Amino acid sequence: MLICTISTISHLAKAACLAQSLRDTQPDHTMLLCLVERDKAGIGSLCEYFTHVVLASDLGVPDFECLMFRSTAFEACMAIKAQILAWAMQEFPGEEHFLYLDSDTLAYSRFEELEFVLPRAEILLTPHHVQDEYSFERTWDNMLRTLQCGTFNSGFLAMRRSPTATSFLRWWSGKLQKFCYKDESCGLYFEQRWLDAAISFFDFTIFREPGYNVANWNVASRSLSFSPGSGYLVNGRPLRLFHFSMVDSGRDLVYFQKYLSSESPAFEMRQQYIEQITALDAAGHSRSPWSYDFYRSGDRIAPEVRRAYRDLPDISHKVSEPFCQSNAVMNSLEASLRTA
Amino acid sequence: MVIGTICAANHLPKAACLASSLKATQPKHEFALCLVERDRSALCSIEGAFPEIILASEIGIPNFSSFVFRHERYEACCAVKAQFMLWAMERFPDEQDFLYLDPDVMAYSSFEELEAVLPSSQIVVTPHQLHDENSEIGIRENTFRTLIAGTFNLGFLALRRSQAAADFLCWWNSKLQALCYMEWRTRGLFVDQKWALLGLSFFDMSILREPGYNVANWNVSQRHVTSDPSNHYFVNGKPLRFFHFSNIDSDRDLYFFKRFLDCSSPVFSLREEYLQALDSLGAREFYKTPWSYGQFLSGDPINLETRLVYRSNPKSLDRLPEPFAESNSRFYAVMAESPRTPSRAGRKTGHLLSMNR
Repeated sequence: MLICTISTISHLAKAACLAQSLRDTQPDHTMLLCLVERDKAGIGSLCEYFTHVVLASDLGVPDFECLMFRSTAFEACMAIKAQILAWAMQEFPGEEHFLYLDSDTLAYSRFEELEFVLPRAEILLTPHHVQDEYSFERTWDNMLRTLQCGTFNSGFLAMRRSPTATSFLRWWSGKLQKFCYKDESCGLYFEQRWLDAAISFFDFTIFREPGYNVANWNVASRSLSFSPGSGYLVNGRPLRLFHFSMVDSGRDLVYFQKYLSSESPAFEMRQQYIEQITALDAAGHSRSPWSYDFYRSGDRIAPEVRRAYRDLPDISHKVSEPFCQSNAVMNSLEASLRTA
Repeated sequence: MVIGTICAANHLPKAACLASSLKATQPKHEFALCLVERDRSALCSIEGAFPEIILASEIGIPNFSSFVFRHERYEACCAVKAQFMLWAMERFPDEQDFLYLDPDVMAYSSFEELEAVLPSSQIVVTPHQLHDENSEIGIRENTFRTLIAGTFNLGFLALRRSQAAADFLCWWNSKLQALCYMEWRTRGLFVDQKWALLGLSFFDMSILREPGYNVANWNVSQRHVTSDPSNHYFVNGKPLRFFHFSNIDSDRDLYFFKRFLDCSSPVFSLREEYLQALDSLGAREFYKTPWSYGQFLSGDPINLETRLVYRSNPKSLDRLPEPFAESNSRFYAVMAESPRTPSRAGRKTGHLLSMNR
């Protein structure tokens, strides 16, 4: 199997932590990191956690610089998700099975159920929920978020090399070129809501194993426990993958505290995760600025300039090398386009 | 098969046209109308079009007054959908197949593909789109609407009597009775449709990808409608099964037809014929019928703000179990000091409205 993740330098400790957890729990596999930076210089010793490192700019994304200029760091990482999988299928012809995982996930045990199902499926998705949130309050707190963010969590994508997978990745990549951001007025939520649209055209296997992709949006309906002999369990069966989404802001804790008993192992798991990524961040990667946040001159790109570059279609036609410009030039161009 | 539709008095001519078009095109079937009004008085001369009529208040929704008060007319018609299907399964115990269609649907030929699929599928849905929009304008005008409204159009839902269908209806019903609102910008809610999409998390659904089904303004750009000299209609070369004349009252559908269709497209004449059929049933007059749940028992109209206050307050049912007996002004006096719905995790108290599965 080939497992891949995407990260900027600032999230590299998480990606390395994920890679280590996979090394500890999965059979031999290729671990691929897609780095969304101008070069690999900042990786340092963390590169040893990955079998291969590829720069996002080397994936063959059309108009790559324009895509980077249009996107925040988060949007950029999500926008190349389809492309990294397509690239991996091309570059590793000996591999049959491909798994994308968000960098803030952690493997706890071997993905046995996935290994069983994937040879019989083409594309596997995990829904945010596999059990209902029964009460009004839990529906309100946990399911409304899902209505806005998409039925499936794009932090886990498993594929078997197949024409369906190739077609799907080509279709998704096309959408992510231009529409990988959040805009409620259009129903957009980065790359994830496109999976809802994709159901119209592609058959997916919906992977409803509760041990996978456990996270703050579904902890209320999954019973987490720990047993000294068996390790972490979800509904009595082995925990496979936890998704520490929102750990940086602490927002995940709000949901843990509301819906879990204080004895829940989730708290200690979270604490251990933070300690692990802190240790891996000894070189201070998390403080690294994003290399696509700056013009070639070294000046920082103003957020409103990025927004205008995304939203005003004429501006990107007039400026094919946006990183060579400046905020002053871009603002002036935007102003002239708006009054035209 | 049992075919059902739901509407308030204002759309009765549409429901009658649907019933008539089904009679002309489908094998023998049962047809039931769920009327979302206080009584049957609005039916008048059109009553004969419907073999079976049931009021929404009679299909088994608990605390019906409180429930319907929380909704605007369009929302209420969506919110009763799951319960209506459950009612139909009980009302017609010998029937195996159940089909819900929106009242603004017209059938043009027999649903052969659906009949072929149903024996092996428990839940059948149709996506808004079957073919990708390639142009930017198509994405902005059509695809985005589908992202907002949910992948599946619930103007069509087919079920085979089974445990899976019953489980799905019970689950869907619990969500529709709690949160079937048109609040897509702030909460991602699009009446019943986004919940049906979320249902994929728990229930296997068969996605019917036949171009002849559920042709509408959101997908005409990708479905080539043609006709032959005998006035048979085809979609991408296959028989047109039904057209969904959504947004026809506001003429908003015309905007999309003109944008994406050649002026010679038969869609325009299909639409014209439909309007004439509606006219012949007095649609213009029916359309003006006020909603009987739109006013207090006193006759005063219910302000939208009043409904929203009632909707957002978790103690509504306790404080005002009979909201129609109140008035706008007294309403605020009673509800003013009540806490609103929990908005984010972290609230210490929250009303738990347990739903029976």
